[in-house]
Amino acid sequence: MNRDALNHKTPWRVAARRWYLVPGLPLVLYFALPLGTLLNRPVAVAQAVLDRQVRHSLLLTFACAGGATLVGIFFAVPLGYAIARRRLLLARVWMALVDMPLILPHPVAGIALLLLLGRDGWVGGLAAHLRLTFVDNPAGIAAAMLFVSCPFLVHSCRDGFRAVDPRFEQVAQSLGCSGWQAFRRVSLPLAWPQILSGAILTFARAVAEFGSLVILTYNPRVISILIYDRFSTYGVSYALPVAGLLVVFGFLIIWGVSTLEGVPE
Amino acid sequence: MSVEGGPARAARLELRELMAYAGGTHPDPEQPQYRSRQTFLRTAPPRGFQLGPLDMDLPAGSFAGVLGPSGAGKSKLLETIAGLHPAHSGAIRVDGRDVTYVPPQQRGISMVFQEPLLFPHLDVAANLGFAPRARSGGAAGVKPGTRGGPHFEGEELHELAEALGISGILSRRVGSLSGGQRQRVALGRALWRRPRILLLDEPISALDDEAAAQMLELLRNLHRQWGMTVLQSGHRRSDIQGVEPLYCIDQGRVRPAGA
Repeated sequence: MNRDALNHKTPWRVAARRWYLVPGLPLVLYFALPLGTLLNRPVAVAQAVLDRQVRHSLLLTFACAGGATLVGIFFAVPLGYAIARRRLLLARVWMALVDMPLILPHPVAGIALLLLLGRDGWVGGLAAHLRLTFVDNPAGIAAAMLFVSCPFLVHSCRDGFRAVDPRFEQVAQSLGCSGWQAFRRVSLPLAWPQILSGAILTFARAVAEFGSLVILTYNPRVISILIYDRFSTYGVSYALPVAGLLVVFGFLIIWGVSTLEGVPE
Repeated sequence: MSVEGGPARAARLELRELMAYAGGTHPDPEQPQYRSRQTFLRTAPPRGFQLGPLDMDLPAGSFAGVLGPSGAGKSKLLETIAGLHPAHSGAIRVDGRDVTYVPPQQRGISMVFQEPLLFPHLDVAANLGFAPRARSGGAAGVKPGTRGGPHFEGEELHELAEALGISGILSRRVGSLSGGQRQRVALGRALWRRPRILLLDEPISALDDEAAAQMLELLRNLHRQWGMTVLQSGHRRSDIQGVEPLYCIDQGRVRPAGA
């Protein structure tokens, strides 16, 4: 028997070399199969696009999630950088605070935000003087999304900057860059793939948010609340097409952004 | 080499009673440049490695050397001169002007590190031309508010690359370069700024014998043609042959060779 065939072509040997698929593939299937059941009525899913309420809800959801992600990037990048470079006292306390939304049940987050941003809350009361309300307003939706999803972004930023050798910034400064220029031209581009990866995760988590929104801003209805509303009022057959549509759009957006921007696979 | 002129003029470098600590704090609250680096918990000089007090005097246009074993403080000394590491006391003067508290980007000093540390997200040409462009077209110097000196333009980048023997790799990613090529790019990147003072932190320690010999020859030629003040460190006498003046450093203390 050919020795190469014995070493490389035997199905068992090929399978053994791809051992990682044995636990990996079932996990992917575990994700894919439930999502597939949401798409088992493709015509109804397609017709859901024609539903004005669904379209409006999808647009609102993606706009608020995108807004929350952009605001998150603005704040999380400097914070992640400061923590990664150990320029903050008690950095572990800061990180523990940032991580708190991850451990809180989301309705608890909603209650906390309602107490702060509601008309009787001190931020909500101040905002009311500026004619800005958070309750039942897109601003409240974005605020809740930011609260529950931004920890992912801070983690990504911190890890991204940690992976960049701080001596690169020293080199840039020795070449005439100010501290800000060294950050903008060296550290930020090098950490950017990981920051973007965190931004996608943040966006996805924001789109999926439900628990805190039910309490803070039930209306206008984002897609998660609309699906729940239709499910509880009319049953699963009314909720299914909207859920299927969310799956399609969500996949296209996440896949498209990560492909275009070169997020590491 | 066809790149004419080099820096506007070489500068004299003086270090007077210079001291620094490895902990990296600056105790002088009157110096605004470094106030932001302090935390209120770290105002006393930290324990650990102490550099100096030391005195050095490098005439303009000299090719000086610092010789010392690993861990003697060579890198810390060069980083302190470049402004990347705060001085604790004493003075660093460039042509008589005290730059001890001047930010690194305004000192007119470039440094080549022991490792090339090329920016991995840029190709060779972008690494070479990385230094920010001058805001004014004046001569290279350490004037406050300027961002380094004048810079090579388009064609000059190719001429610089040719002088360094890297003109064929300008479009390559830095990850694919050999050790010698990397160090040449790092040298070119520092020269692009046309510094008045060039600090070389063991530039050949990571190179094989042949690449090290080529690099030393290149450094000599560049110094001869450009005339900038150079301070090179090394841990073997053969790495820094023919330098004048030569200093020895051990445990942070510097003395002239032969003293």
